[in-house]
Amino acid sequence: MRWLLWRQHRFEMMCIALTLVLCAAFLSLEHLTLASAFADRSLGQCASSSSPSCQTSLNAFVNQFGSMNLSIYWMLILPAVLGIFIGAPLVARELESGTFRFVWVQGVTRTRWFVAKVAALAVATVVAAAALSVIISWALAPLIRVEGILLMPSLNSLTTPLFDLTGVVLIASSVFALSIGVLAGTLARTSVLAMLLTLVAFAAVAVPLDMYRPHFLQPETATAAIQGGSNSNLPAVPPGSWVLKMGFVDAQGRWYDLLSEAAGACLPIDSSAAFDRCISNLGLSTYVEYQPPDRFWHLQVAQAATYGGLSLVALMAAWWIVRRRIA
Amino acid sequence: MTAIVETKALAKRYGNNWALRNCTLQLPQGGVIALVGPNGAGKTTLLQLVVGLLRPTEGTITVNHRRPFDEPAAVLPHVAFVAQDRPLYGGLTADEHLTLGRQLNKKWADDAVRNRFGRLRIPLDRKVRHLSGGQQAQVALGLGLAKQADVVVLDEPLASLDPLARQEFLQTLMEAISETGTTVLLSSHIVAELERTCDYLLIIADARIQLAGDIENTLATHRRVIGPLESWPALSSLHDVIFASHTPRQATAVVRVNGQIFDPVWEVHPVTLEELVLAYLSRTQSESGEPKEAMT
Amino acid sequence: MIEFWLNSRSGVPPYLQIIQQVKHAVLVGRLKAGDRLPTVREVVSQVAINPNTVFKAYRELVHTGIVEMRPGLGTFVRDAPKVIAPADFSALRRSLLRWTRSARQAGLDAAAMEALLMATLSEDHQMEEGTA
Repeated sequence: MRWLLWRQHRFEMMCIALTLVLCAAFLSLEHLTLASAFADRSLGQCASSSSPSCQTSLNAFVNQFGSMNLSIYWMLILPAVLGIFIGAPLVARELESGTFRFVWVQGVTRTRWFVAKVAALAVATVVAAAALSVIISWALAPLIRVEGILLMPSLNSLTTPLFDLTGVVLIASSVFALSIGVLAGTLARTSVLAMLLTLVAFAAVAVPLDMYRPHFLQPETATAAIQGGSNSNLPAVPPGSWVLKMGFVDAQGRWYDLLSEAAGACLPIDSSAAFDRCISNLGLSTYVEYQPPDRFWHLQVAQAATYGGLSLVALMAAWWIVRRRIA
Repeated sequence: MTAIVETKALAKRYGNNWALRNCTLQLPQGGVIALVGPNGAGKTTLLQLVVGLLRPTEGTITVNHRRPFDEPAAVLPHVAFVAQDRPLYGGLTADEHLTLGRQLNKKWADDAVRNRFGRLRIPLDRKVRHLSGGQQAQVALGLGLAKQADVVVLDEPLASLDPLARQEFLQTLMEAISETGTTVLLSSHIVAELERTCDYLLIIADARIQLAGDIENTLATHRRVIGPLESWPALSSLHDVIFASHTPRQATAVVRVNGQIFDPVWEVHPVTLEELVLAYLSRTQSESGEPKEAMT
Repeated sequence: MIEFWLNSRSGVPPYLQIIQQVKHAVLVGRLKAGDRLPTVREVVSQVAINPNTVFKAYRELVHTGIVEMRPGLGTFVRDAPKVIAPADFSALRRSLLRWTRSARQAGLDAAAMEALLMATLSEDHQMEEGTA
């Protein structure tokens, strides 16, 4: 079947390769910018953000280049595109054009045909996704490193989009998109309908999964007392953490977004001392909910395993339909 | 006679619609079997059951004693299928289709097919979608014959071909099987061309087999009779009436004779294949009371 | 080499037509003793006809002694073709003339006579097939 696989899918393989090359080129340019700025500002010497000079230059770096996190946002649709344009037509096109009545009556059984095609495309998907993951990690490494040192950065490797595009999640979500596309093709039996179904199904899984990620592991919490009438006392949160929620808690454990809500009873402010007393009477403290950075791989494996399990289910269902139901 | 394809009470249902019912057949090895009937009668269903594209709802079908749908690895090397509208990969050339066939089949007579395509002047390096209907049909047939299967199944292979293409197609088919013991099973809703090529007949209508038998025997046992209406009851009690169309003046019918017709008042004529098929189909139509598509 | 053609409208079964054409060719001298008949494959590629039909016709021709099969070489016209004796021929012709006269008296024209003759030939053949 090797000849058939290449002949029928060579265009798709070349599109994948081209996309990879274009992304790599784009990311390489970003890498050049980041790497040279990183070196120019000698940020390599800053192991933490404790010293004031480091803190300033690190923050400046992030302020200037943090948008690069978002420049790769569009790559999040790549798995879906793969599922829609490569997974969905796999079976649907043969059903639509009737060629399955030709190719399934040659010398190979439907099962062998299905397995060979899916395996070939899955391997290509894994290789391409892994390559892209690695390239993204390499290209944005300086930024990721800086975000890993700062306290409470707004974007880092635990947040979307970096989390979904590095590690193993990109590989797993791409395989999932392919699988759900193939299944959609066996159900819808026409390419267009299969593509729509793939888009809907992929979004229906990927979006909730991403939204659920903060709570996959019970987040850590940290509190700190409020001093001096200011709410700039932050709890001790490890650098590079993913901050989920920030606010205020009182002695009863009630939660407030803003100090003005929490300490409403203490307003108007007569004197800072009186304000401090009032606040400590209420038992208010600042409160942060976060995921520490050392949970990166744990969360990666969890999300990837979910995608992986769903892929397996989708492919088995698709195989069953091909073997037993298209008859 | 060994039966290469056997069915027992075979039936196929799609949702609430029975496409084939209670089909019990033994198809002779080495024969050229014609499956005739109106559109929608169940021809395609039966043929696709033979090659394992469809799963029986009831009953069994075996090819060489193996079930096509359940044991595809055992059956596929022994059957070849040319589906209706001969689905080929439009973007592939004839040459690439041959490569495909060679890759996917253990037995593959590549040279013989290429020679034939050369003789028929079919361009091997043109995409199939740019070939004429007749050329596409020859490509599909060639691909089916190259498998050197025991049973070659063709679904309406002559429809949408011009007369010359039809002639060439049948010549190719007959020539290919003249030196092997290949069984051919082909369906058509055009009867006229089948008489010289086929030796076994299956008439299907209303999802049921109406007639199954050797063509020569069948034609030998059926007669068209014309005679006076008064003598009709006597005749119809002695012989099987397939279809009678009386006018006020005379009785006309196609009957299957039991013995000889001795009464000299009857004109007895042999039936052609076309007349025979029409009679059986008319019988079905009048029984079911529903209008059927006209046979050409 | 003889080329066959089939008349699908004649009502005569294809294999009979082949037999008739061979017999006719021998009678008029188009096929001479020792001439080779086309192989089944050759016939079938000219005329799209079931190979079994050709087999059957050739077998019948062998059976009636008009041709013989030489293994590995083919099917050949035999040395002594059946020729109708002139005496038989004229006797048959005379009885046929008598018949045409009675048919004309009964009111049949040439076309009607031909139709009756064809139908009778066919029926006769069928009966012979049935008893064979």
